Amino acid sequence: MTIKVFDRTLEALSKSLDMRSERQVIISSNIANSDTPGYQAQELDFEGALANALTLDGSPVARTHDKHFAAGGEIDDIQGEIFNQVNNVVREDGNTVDRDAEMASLAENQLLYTAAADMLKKKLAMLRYAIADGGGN
Amino acid sequence: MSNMGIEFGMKSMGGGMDSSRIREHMENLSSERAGAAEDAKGASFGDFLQNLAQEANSSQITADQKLNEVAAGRNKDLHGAVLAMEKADVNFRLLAQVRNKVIEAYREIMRMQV
Amino acid sequence: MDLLSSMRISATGLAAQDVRINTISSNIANAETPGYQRKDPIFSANADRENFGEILSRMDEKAQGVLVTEIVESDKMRLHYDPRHPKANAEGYVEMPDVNVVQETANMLAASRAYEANITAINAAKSMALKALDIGK
Repeated sequence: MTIKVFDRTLEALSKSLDMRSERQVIISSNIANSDTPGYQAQELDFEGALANALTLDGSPVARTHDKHFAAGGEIDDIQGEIFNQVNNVVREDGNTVDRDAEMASLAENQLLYTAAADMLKKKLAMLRYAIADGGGN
Repeated sequence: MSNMGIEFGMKSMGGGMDSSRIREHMENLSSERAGAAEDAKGASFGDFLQNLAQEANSSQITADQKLNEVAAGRNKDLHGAVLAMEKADVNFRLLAQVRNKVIEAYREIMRMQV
Repeated sequence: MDLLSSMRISATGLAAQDVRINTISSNIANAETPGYQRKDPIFSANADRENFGEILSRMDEKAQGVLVTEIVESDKMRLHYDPRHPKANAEGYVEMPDVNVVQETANMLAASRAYEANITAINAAKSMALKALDIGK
């Protein structure tokens, strides 16, 4: 018999850390290639899938097909999607990177990553406290 | 009786305080205490403990909800999430400590020679 | 691992912008040198791989650094009429570089900003990685 110690929130925070570090790679790629002719700026999207799995956006939804979002389940399976950014200005050399926008994304991503890490740490500390018999005998 | 004594004391200080206001205030306090004693007869310690547990549970659920929102990027209210977590933590620790003290008291009582 | 990839990618950005800055400096320094051909670095995206033969994951494809594939020398020369110049040709024209110092200076500023952006990206990745290590403390 295994005890499931990680509740959904801890899974969500952990998934958030995974996704945001992948996003960091994508953003660095965009910034490194901000002057490369023909380079298409990319982005990683995972928030929709995660919010869905946590049923944040609405009432719980039944999953009728394998390929649909895992509503209310399987946070672990969330991969996030990487695709070319749309509605970007295409410069003369074919490059679509908006460096200022990337810098803003960089900052936000870092902040939310740090927040998730801190919260994960705090939740684990609370778990440890509870396991240690509430500090009593 | 005791009221009059205090009033006398206040007047002798002569600090310009209104003695009737002070007396009013003291009357309010003593009636509050009487009311509290009455409440204590109705509410039991068990109820208190149950409230504590409910409080701890609901603040934990609220905190988890906020953390989920931050993780999914749906809510950027970071300080709200952090505060909710701290609140849940404090409530839980309070519950844990009260429970420890209750167990300690129980053991103490059981140790008594009858 | 992702965050380390991110830093590696940003490092390629630094290297490329560095080459660009050096090239521009060379152009500016030689703006009045007869016979000097203006140089232009060519950037291209370069997939980030730790070692060849690594199993291709999704991120391996999407994570791209940048590389200066070649430095092109411009054929164009500005003809300057000065028959008494020792390097003058038969018609009395001296071949001067097609270097517009104002343009080069503007490029220099852009390259410098791009360099800074990559540094910011590295710092973000570093701080995120350190934060992750902090979770267990």
